[in-house]
Amino acid sequence: MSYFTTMNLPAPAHGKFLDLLKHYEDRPQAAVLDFEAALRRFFDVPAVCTWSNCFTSIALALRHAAAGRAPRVVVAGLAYRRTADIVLWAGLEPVFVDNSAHDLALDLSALRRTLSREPVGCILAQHPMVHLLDIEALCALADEFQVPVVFDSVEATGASYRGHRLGRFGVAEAFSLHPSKVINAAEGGVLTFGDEAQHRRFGKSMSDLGLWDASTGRPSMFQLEPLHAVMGLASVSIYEEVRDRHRSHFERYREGLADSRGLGLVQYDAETDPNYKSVLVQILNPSPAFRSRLMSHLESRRIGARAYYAPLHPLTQSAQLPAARALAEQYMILPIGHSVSLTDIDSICACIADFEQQSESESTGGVHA
Amino acid sequence: MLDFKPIFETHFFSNHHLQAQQAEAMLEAQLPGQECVTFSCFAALITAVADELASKDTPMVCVSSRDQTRQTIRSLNLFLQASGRLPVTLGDSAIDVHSPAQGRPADVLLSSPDGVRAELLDFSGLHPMLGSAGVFVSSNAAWCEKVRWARSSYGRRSTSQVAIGANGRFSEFQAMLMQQVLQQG
Repeated sequence: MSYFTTMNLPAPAHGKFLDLLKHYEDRPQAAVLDFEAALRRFFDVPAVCTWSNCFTSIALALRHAAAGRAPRVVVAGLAYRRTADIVLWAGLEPVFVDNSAHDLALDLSALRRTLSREPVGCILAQHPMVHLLDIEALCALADEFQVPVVFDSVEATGASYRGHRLGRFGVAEAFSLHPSKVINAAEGGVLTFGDEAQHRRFGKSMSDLGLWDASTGRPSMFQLEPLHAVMGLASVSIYEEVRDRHRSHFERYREGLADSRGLGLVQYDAETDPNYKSVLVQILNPSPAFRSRLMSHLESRRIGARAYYAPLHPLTQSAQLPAARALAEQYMILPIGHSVSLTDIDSICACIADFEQQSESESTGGVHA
Repeated sequence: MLDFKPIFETHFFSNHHLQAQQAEAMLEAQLPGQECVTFSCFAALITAVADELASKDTPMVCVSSRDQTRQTIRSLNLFLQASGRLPVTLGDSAIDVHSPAQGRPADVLLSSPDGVRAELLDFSGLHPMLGSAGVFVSSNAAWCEKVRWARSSYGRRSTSQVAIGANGRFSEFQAMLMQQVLQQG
């Protein structure tokens, strides 16, 4: 019996991959260079830098952004579960700031209070699932305090902000090439730069860290694998097809969950040209443990729903993050992508409706005089 | 030329699936009594070991005879020191190293005062399409499990704890290339 997963798992046809492999088998490094050229076109930026994975990409971008500054990085309390690990791996210290209930990103008022109170090296600003954070407002605040910003734009790959495709903002933006995302290179990460000067400064930082080949102007280790570049080339060429499939899945969920009283589907802003990679729902039912009971119910039927980024990282224990802690209980994501068809989505929605009906019956039946 | 069709047939491209498991099984068959943990790249493996296992009493020493590996270590040491980690000592490559890796001498040794030992192997460039890969080899199950936990949440065999969860996921593509290297001996 199939298992429905939240991992997107897009993939080109094997034949498409094979044609490219034959083209590059005698010159593997050319695959990396050509993939980087394709990424520059995709993100509409003058410079990119590929790495073995996005974890390393972000860590090195933080290292660069915080160079010569306090070794501390502002991150949101409720964020991708490995965020604190990325900061620690870079040899830096995370400073947790509360989230906004409005867009699930860093709360700008809380960020202002933090920046006013203590020196930081840089801000790691993550676009949450579905929403885009307010880039202009965040950058204005960062500029006011002269703090550099690195964007983790993994969840927003392919989206646009005020008419510009994400990739050119901040010191650098990071995108993942893992199969669970929308451009599948098997493994890999990419940093994008809004101008050549930013890229040159980044290269200088990496050279100081021993990680740069001055003769090629590229990483000397933690590099993107040539085979992953071949896979990435095949994948980036089918991005629109992948996005359209995700959109059809999202729309099917919108229809299927329209009558749900327990779940509210978080809507994409179509004007941002989103990738529709995530089906994020807000828990509206106030019953205790509704989300965990629903997830268990779905899991028993091999429907792999997941809590949205919960639980918070253990390092947040002593931080003042009331909104993040509340939001950590309020959202979940549903299966989308390769593992599901439109018919499967209908079944998932029916399963959710059955659970809601059962819950309501139990709740009614449990009322005592 | 490998066509990597099995990867497309299973639709599993990473996260320690069949090919990665097979590569580790092949390594362990060649190295009886040892557990082997694959890593996405040699530099990431060195960094993970620096975080989780190495110390002043249990240092990493490079004994590789490969110029490429020694140069990687020299450069990586800058990053290790800048990020607050202990660097790898560049040892004498002429030392006669007793390695369990037949025909594949250890590139880096990790030895504790009580005799626990591990070898780190650099597979970088051993196949024209394989940029980098690393393997952690040890008979110490606890050490190996720590390295698995540092690698990712996939491919773990039991419980452990790590200081810094890293990302050393070894893809199914890298695994198929490694299998070809191991078959060719």
